[in-house]
Amino acid sequence: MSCTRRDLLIGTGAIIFTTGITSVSSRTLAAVMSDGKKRYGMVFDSSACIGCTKCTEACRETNNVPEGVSRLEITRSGPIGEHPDVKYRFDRTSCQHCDNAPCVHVCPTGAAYKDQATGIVDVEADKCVGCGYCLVACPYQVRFFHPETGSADKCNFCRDTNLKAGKLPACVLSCPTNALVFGDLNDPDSEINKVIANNTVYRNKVELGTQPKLYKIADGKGEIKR
Amino acid sequence: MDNVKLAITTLINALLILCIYGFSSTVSAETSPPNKAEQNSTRHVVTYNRDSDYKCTQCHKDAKQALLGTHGEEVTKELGKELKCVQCHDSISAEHRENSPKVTKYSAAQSKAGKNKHQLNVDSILSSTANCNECHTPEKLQEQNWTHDVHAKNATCSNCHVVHADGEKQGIQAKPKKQQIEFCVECHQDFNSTDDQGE
Repeated sequence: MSCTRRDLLIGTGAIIFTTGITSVSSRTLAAVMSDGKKRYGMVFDSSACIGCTKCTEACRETNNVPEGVSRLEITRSGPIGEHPDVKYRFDRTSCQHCDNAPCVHVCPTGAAYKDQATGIVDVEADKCVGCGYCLVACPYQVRFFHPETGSADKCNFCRDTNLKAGKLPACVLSCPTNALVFGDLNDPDSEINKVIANNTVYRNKVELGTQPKLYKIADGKGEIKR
Repeated sequence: MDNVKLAITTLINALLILCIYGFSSTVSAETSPPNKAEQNSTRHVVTYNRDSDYKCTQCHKDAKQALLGTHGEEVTKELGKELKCVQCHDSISAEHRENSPKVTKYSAAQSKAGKNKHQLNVDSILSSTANCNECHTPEKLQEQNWTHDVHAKNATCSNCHVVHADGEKQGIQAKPKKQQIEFCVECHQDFNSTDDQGE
C-alpha cells in the first residue's frame, strides 16, 4: 500500500475539514439554549381581561412580593371611543419565560437560569450579586431588584409556591374571567396547546430570537403593540 | 216661603262671617305681630317653610338623613339648593302605598345574567343611569375612574354605589383598593360561570 504526498494531504485536509465543521456548527454566533422535557408556557387572553388586577394582587400575596415592585402588571391603555361605548385595552407585563433567555446568557454568576425540567426561567437569589446586567438585558423589562433580598426577581410561574404545591400559578387561579391558561407546550393534548391552536395568538418581540413562551390573544380593539 | 229663604241666607252669611273671623284669627296667631321690643331690634323675617320632602319622610323615616351622607353639603353647594326626593324619585302615583308601582326606583341591575342578580337590557340601564348622569356627567366620571366607562351600558350605579349612605360613604368608594378589586371579581366571576353553564 503506497501513500503519496497527494493522498496524505487530501486525507488530512478531509479530517480537518470534517472535524472543523462539526466544532464550528455547535457554536453559532447567536446564543442558543436547549429545551427540556416540559416547556411550561402561558396564554394571556387580552379579549377576556377586564383589568381588575386581581392577578397582580394574588401574585403579591402568594409570592410575598412587597409593595413598590411587582412580578406581574396589567397595563391599561385608552380610552377608545365615546360614551356610552368607551373601551380600554389591557396587556400583561411579566416574564415571558424565553426559551432562549437573554437574562440567563448575560448573568455572570449563574444566578439566572432556565430550569431544564420545566423551561421556567428563574433566579437563584443566593448566587445573585445584584449587578443588574439581567435587568438591562431583558427586552421585556420585567426584572427588578427585590427590596428585601437585594437580588434580581421576576415571575417564575409560582415555581416555589403554587406549582410546588401542585396548583396552578396564583394569577391563573385568581382570574375571574379565565383570561389566563397555563400548561405544558410540549404536551400536544394540553389545554394551552388547544387554546393556541384555536385562536390567533402573538408573542412579544419574537424577532429578537428570544422564543418567548407567553402567548397573547389579540383583543380586536386595534393594532397589536408588540 | 220668603221668610225661609231669608232665614237661610242670613244663616249662610253668619256662617261665612264666622269662618272669615276664625281664619283671620289663626293667621294672626301664626304671624302674630312681634312685640315692641323685638320690633325695635330686628324685623321679623318670614321664612319659606314648605318642605316637599315632608310627606315622604313620614314613612321613609331615615331616608332623607341617610341621603345627606352622600348628597349633602356638597350637592347643596353645587346646586344652590337642597336635593329633594322627587328630583330622583319622580312619577309617584296614587297607588304609592300599595307596593309603589310607578315611582322611579334605583336598584342594582346588570346587562348579563348572574346568580341572584337583576338583569336589565341595555336601554333600560342607560335610561336608569341617565338621571344620575345629569349631575355626574360621563366626562366627570371618566376622569374619576375608568371603570365608569366600561360599565356605562352594563350596570346601574347602585351595583357599586350606595346612594342613601349613612354618614360615612358606603359602597365601593369607602373600600380600600384590595376590596375594590373584590367587587370586580365577585360580579365577573359570577356571570362568567353562568355563561359556561349555559353553553
